[in-house]
Amino acid sequence: MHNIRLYGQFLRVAVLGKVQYKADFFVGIVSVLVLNAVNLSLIGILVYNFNTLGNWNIWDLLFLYSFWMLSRGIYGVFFWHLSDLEEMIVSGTFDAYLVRPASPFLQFIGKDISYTGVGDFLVGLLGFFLAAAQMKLQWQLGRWIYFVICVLSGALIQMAVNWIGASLCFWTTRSGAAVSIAERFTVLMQQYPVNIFGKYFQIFVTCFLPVAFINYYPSVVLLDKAADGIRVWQYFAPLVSFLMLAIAAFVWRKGVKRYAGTGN
Amino acid sequence: MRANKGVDLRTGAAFLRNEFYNISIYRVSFWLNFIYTFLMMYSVGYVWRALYTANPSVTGVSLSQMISYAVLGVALEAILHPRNGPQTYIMEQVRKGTIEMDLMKPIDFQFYMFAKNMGGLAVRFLFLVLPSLIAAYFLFSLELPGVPALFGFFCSLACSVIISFFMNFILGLLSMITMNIKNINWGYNAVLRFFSGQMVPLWIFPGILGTVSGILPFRCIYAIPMSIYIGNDAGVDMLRVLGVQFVWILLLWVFSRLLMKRVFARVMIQGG
Repeated sequence: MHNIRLYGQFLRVAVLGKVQYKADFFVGIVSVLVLNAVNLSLIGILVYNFNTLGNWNIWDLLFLYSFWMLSRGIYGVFFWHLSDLEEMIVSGTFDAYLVRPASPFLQFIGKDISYTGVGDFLVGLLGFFLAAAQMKLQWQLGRWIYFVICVLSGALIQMAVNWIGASLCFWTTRSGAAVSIAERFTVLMQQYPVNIFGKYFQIFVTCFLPVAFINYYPSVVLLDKAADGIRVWQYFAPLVSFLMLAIAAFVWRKGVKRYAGTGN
Repeated sequence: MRANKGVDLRTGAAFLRNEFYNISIYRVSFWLNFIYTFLMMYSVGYVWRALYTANPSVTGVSLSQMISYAVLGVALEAILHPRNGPQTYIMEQVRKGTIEMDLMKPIDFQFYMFAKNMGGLAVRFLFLVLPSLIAAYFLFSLELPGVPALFGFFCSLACSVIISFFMNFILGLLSMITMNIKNINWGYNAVLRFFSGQMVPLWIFPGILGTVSGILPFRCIYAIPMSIYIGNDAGVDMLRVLGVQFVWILLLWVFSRLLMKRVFARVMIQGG
């Protein structure tokens, strides 16, 4: 309880810091909108010409993309600065967190919020309602609840993956290059239905780096996209997110202990 | 005033060598880049395969041509992405206030940046582009073109590199005025991704978008060499698009010289 109040306080400070720079805020939002427009238009042009991509039509693909943007938006607002860890360790500013009487993770995660996530989230919301209207989706309450849970768990999976990536800095000092490559790659990946990439790839993004659970499997379930019926494990996005979080927390804990242990 | 050409070229070669050493230090990020390129080639190949199973006759070229085009787009990113341009360096120098040191050097600033940039690109070409193209030939069914197309491709690629340098250099000059490169880079990146034909070939762009992409210079960077490579622009068409690249090189060169003069005048007034 105390931790949640503390986190709230941290966030308030971060927001107050951000609103000082209004122009930056608008430029940031606009650039996110432009990037999303470019991504969506490129997919749009492809599907406009080919009609379908692995049995997904243009609205299915918009749904898939919007789903990703909703979860990415939530992840982005609260956790975008996970990648700052490398710089903080190199410059030694992280050490300050270790001597204060609060959890280092809480201080680190509460140090900043990012508004680019807001842009992503808005794009996601707009795309989702557009796709839903075009597909005439009639969902029961249960589906809506599952949808919201999956968006949240998608955000948590992205957070966990980046958290693990950032924590590797405790061992290697530098992990930024690897994380940014993983990020650039997932940006391409999440735009397309995973099933078009072949079996081995599908196994990789399901079992080893479970990014397919961010938006692909929830979309398969919600849009009934599985040709031969939905398997039970395809519902598992929320479980996967908890598992990933547990792994990430474990890696972080080990990392902080190691970092503090070497006597910085 | 201006040093004779021989000295300039030797100075250029020195910068080139220097940059080679600079880049060869970061071996880990080189390997990571290689893995990234590999993954991207793998996935773009699959995207086109999936599209072609639905509708094989849309683009007017065969699937293997299309995959070659896409794979090439991924491989060339290692030298043509704006992140490898001189603008980041220029901005960094402006921010630190050490740009004066670069301007004071007894060598033309643009030539200096060019030599420095080419050094980096040569290294990236040798160690990233060529190996990934060889890998693509064996793993992702990259087609080998005939001799005329291959020759045209390399000529065109040289033009792409120069055009890409001029654009990046102009962005760098603009950053001296706006004192912020992040947003400029950002917007340029987005436009380039869309209108360069790197991911999606420009000839399938519908209506007005197709027209606009034909007028803009961005297609000179990816689309033209890649189209020559897969044989989509052959014979007279090849000469025509090479001509388009030459014209853009000329235009951008003149523009960047003029802009450089103006910007430097401003920087000096601001207190150099």
